[in-house]
Amino acid sequence: MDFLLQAMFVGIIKGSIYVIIALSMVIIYKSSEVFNFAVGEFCTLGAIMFFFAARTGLPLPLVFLLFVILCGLAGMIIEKIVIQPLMGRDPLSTTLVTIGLSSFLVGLFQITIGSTPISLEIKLPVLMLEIGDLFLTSEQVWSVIFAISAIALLLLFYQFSRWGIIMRATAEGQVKAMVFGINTRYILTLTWVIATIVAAMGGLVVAWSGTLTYNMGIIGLVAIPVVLVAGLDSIGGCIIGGILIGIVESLTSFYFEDATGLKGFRSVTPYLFLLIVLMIRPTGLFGQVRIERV
Amino acid sequence: MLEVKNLTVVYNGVISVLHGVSLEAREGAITALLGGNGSGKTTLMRAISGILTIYEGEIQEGNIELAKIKLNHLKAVDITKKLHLTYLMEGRPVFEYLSIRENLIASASCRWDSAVPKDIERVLAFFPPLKNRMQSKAGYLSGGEQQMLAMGMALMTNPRFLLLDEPSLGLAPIMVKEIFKVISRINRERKIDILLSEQNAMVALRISSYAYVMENGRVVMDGSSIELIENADIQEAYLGSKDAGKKDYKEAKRYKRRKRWLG
Repeated sequence: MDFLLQAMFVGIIKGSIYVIIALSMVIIYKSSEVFNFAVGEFCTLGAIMFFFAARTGLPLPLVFLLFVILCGLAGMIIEKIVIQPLMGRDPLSTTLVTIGLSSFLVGLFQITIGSTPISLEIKLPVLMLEIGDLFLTSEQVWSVIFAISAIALLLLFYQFSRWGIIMRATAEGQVKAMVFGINTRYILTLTWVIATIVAAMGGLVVAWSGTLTYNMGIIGLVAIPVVLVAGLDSIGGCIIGGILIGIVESLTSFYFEDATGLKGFRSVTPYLFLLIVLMIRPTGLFGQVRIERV
Repeated sequence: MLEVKNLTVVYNGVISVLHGVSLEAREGAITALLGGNGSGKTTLMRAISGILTIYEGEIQEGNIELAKIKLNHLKAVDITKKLHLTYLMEGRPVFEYLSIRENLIASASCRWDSAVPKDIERVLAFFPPLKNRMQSKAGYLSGGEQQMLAMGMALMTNPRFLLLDEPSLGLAPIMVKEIFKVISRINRERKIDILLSEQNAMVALRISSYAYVMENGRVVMDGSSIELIENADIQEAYLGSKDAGKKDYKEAKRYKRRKRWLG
């Protein structure tokens, strides 16, 4: 059992990355009922943008700012060209378009950065953590700090800022929002911009603790069970669901794989977990409780 | 002043809903728009507020003018934002998962300025029951409270003209009384002109100064509200006069005939 603590922490770290990616999906789903299958490519996009921003040789805070601006711009362009022409149609058509968008982006990334893995280096102070049996590398500690602050910033924005409130209002009903003078078209663009930035931050953490490759967007697939376990439209559920799946995955790799010799079984566990959850609770663990007055 | 001239509206290119509606809502006044289900009240309001296209509707003929500015092809957002006309949809259009405070903030988005916090207080003064429940979600409010909130949200857009679509829909009689008191107060104290559609003719006629009666997409009758309250046809069709039960079929038909002449 001496691995348990270590396994839990590794799971939480992994899970927090899933949370970021899943949140990006949930924001879009809430506002337009579109399931963004290109979320993994948005992650890659973020990592690539950071790679280019870091090349400018600016100090780290400025690189970071540049990274956020570039990702926001990319999100805006994608929304204007790909999503907006489909506005007012069935959300399913837009969902299918995101699958196409995803393959297009993979191709585009391969042209831009080639097929060789790139390692992102970010010069940050070393923060190693060693308490008893628990040992976390500096990268792991930083990615937790990064993930938590990204999630916290998003939640603060979404729950308390004026634009967050307007985004949530628009998510409830576009016509309703429109007659109160809310420019819903603008708000939808804003939603995609923010979702892109959020996914990009997730991608940055992934690329940083591993390598940057053109097809690392595969990680986006894990966000799907997280979102579904959470119940599609619950932000709180996303956080718990993501961390749960991270822990399940890491426990499997620490205990189950060694004991049975089934190497790589951990990549199946998120889906297995999803299957079990959906069998017990078809609406997901935290699907938004519909308000019904009696 | 809001002027609608000879308006013809068609849904989906074929279903004709309004056949040449003309009306005027005068400055400083409450104008009532009476009519049963399917008479075209809501369609008229959608046309005025610029959201008709969302429902696959189209203005085929006629003009809508607010203070001499033509509204026919303006976007809904611009009508609310620049011309200060706000349409309050029927059925209490609040954002259910947002708290009361958030609802008011969201609806003030088109005119965000430093006066908003003060304005929230000013709006709440009209609706005291909302004050104690600022943090509770709008979906959990009672019907009357939701209607109050919806009207508060409409006020937050800083309107000079309000379209109210059946504000009494689904409310208890005592609540209806309360809501209509506030409507006439808003009209007097905030100097907002109001066009009000209603099925509950009595309450609407009491607070309005002029009224139009619509049926099957046409205005079949209009006159000052006092006149209409006295009018025998209105009494019979909408107000339920005391001896209504005694009338026979022949007399009921008189109203139908008359309508055809007027339409």
